[in-house]
Amino acid sequence: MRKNLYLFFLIISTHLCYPQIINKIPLSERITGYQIDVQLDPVRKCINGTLKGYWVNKSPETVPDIRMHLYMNAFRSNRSTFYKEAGDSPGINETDPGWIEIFSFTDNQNRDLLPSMKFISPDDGNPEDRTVISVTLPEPAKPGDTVFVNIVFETKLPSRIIRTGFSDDFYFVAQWFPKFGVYEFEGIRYAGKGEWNCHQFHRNSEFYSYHSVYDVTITLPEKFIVGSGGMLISEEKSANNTKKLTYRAEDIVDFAWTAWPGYSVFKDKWNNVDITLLIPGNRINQVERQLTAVRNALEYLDRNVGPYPWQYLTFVDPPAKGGGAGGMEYTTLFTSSSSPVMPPFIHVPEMVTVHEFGHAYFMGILASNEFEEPWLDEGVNSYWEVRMMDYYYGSKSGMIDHPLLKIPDITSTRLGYVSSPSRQATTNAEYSWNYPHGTYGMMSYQKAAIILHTLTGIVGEETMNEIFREYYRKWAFKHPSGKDFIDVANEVVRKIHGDRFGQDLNWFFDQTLYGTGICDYKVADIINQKLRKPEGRIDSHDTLSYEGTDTDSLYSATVQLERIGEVTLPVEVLIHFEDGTEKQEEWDGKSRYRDFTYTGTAKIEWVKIDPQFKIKMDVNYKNNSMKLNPDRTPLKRLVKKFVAFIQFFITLNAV
Amino acid sequence: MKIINFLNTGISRAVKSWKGILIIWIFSLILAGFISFPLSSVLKRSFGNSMVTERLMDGLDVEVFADLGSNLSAFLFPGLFFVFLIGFILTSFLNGGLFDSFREDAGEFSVSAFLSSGARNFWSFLLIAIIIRMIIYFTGVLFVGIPLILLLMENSTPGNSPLIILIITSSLYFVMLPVLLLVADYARAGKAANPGWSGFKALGFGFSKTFDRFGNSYLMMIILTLAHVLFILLVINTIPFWKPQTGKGVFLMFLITQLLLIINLALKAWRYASVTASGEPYCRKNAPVSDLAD
Repeated sequence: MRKNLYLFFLIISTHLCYPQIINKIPLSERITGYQIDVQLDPVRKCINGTLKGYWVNKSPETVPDIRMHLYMNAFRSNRSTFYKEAGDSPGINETDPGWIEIFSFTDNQNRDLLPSMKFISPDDGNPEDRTVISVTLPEPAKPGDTVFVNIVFETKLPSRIIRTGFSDDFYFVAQWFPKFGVYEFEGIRYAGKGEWNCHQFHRNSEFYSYHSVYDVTITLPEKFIVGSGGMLISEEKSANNTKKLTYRAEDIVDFAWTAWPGYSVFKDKWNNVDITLLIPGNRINQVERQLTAVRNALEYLDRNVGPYPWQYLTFVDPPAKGGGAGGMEYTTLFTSSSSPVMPPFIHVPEMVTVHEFGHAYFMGILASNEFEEPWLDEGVNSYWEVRMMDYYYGSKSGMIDHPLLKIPDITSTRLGYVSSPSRQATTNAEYSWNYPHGTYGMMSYQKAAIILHTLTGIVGEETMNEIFREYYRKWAFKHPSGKDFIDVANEVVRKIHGDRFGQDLNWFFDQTLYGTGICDYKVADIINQKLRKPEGRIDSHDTLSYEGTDTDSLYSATVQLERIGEVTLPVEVLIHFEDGTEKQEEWDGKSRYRDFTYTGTAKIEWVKIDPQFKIKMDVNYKNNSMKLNPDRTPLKRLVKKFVAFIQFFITLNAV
Repeated sequence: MKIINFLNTGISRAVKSWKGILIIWIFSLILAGFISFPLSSVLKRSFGNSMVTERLMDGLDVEVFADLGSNLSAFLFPGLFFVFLIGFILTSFLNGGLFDSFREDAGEFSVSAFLSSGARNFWSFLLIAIIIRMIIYFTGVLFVGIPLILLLMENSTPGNSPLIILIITSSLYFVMLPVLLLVADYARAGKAANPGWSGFKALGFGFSKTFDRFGNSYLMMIILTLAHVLFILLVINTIPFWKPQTGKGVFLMFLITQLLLIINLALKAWRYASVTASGEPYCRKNAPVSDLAD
């Protein structure tokens, strides 16, 4: 009873400290929350302030310490893990590095926790890395306890913007405050016993966080136009031509903000979502395409995955000098990328916008661990990016839509995977910083997306939608793992298709996601053999003598198929006979070789494996088909045009 | 009026030298063959009996070529570089013959005279072509490239001044291009008429001649360039979009592209001949540059 009373007062006090003013019903458990009050010092490029935060021990265990990320220390020197992995340096000038200093660290009883704070390097043991701290609590946190912390800190922004930093009077402020790690215990992802999941900041890595509540007050010179991941609650004028902005954000995994005097602000609305776009003044011609892209993405994911649960959304097209901040996601705030002279037929700005918005779902709502399973956010999100781009901008022109050249997003994504020489270097089970040969991007984005598109080809698009709807219903505002996603896929596919694809889809994911094999099916040959009418007689030596006749028109027609890759997937085979008839066969794709033989009056003219190119993972489409007399017209046309191009170029180039 | 006369003279002289135009066309075809025959063979061998080329029926499909891997690019890019380089040198050689055949006192066109004057003028014509091409590239970077980069790097300026700067400098560039062409053409016409001149001397002559009679010759060059640009635009907006679906259609397309190429060469010859005519009389053969003022 005493414990219950204590819990009651704790909840009341927590809610008094962090008033719930946006969503009547919290979307998440709100295990952590932050009240941050900071000032931007534009001369020193520093952010000074205080942070009051809490973490609720939801685990059934007593936890002796807390762990927090100090991401900004990655930019402290070239000896941080981040820069060691990058093989680079934050710069040698005094204004170049970034860092975060903690001046005071107390609990809610004003006990000094600074002496028990230490830097740890759980990933690589690098003693020079200061991106994670462990703070031993005066009293271990019992199950249900809330740990309150009060921190006075200063963050210096780096000059070389890698997601975060400053350039002249442009600021993109991300990974800027002390942030709780995630305490995982049995039932959360792969955790057995409870432990903090609080990784160092790596070059090839993103983040992992609790859904939190943020009350952030920023004081800065009046000239700045500010965008953030929160809702603007109030704006007051302060002394010395400064202003104080107060933001509130609920149930988001990160809070970032940007400030620059050069932004132009545009507003739009989609259903009940207020959209704000911050864009440099010289890119006004890009505004409509950017807003259209984000409205498209909102509509598509809302329809096919689940509702966008916030009432606002801010996105930023950073200026050229802040280009390093482009293409990043902070749930209700994301950054895109464009230029004032981007031709309308190149859909790169739309692609970046659609992709980064998609992250509101894939790690924003479904808060997977980007450190450990980057495919689960980047790959899944790239899958949806491709679907959205090719849906709204043309199935043949999602990326480039010029009369002379059309490229769908699925093609550019597939080529990223199939043309990579390192496509078999490792599996998707790696932690993000462990991908070898620079394969992080290809493996996490393109390969994973292509795997999911291949699955779409097998189970169908509506089944995939249902998988994601169920994934959303089950895991929104929680921390799903890859296994959780696969479990959902297994459940939904079984529900819709029964055992058509086996007991589950583990055979698929084990080969593709967690294997290094490639998929490559080949038509090896077409053999049309005329059958001869058996005519014979028994001669005096009892041997069969055989006389053939070629007046018959019966053929034994065979197609020989081959599996070159290690991955076995069910494929369709379309066989076309010279009399115009066609036969569609199903091949489970398991054996190395497979023949289909037909006896009839018509010869086989051509054969296609996967005629509709559903198996996007197939690394070579060239060998998927064979025709006895292929039509070379397209090639001839191409070569003739090429000849003319060379001739025109030679004669025009000669002044 | 003078301009029309020059243009008319240019047409008649270009027509008179039709064999020279055909010679250049044949050489361009042979040169293109150096890359197109191996390309055709590589494509046939690489695609074999695959039907994936069906996807090219509607136009370029990068996915189809991506499957060829490095086979194509390894051969194509060095091949293109080689052909373009040889093409540049060869056209300098053939232009030597062409300019010589446009002279007022050239007489009947003969292939041997065409080739021998090409050989005689070769090094000077090559030098002129290289220098003028370099100037065109350099000014292009200066007037278009740098303003464009500045526009891309610009963060936010009310009134879009970098865009206005780009428009102004690009316009200047396109206004300046005909001047450079005039310089090149006068230099080559002067050199053809004066075989003893060095390339640099001819280039100096080209500059002085251009600015001596700038008004008329610039206007004439604008007309000639405009006609050529309109023709090229016509080609660009038709041929790449033409997708014949049968072998006969492809052959017809080939014939038409070659016809268009000949027209393209004829337009160029018209320019060369008109400029040659407008610069006449040139000085006596081997006369010093100072004697050239008219």
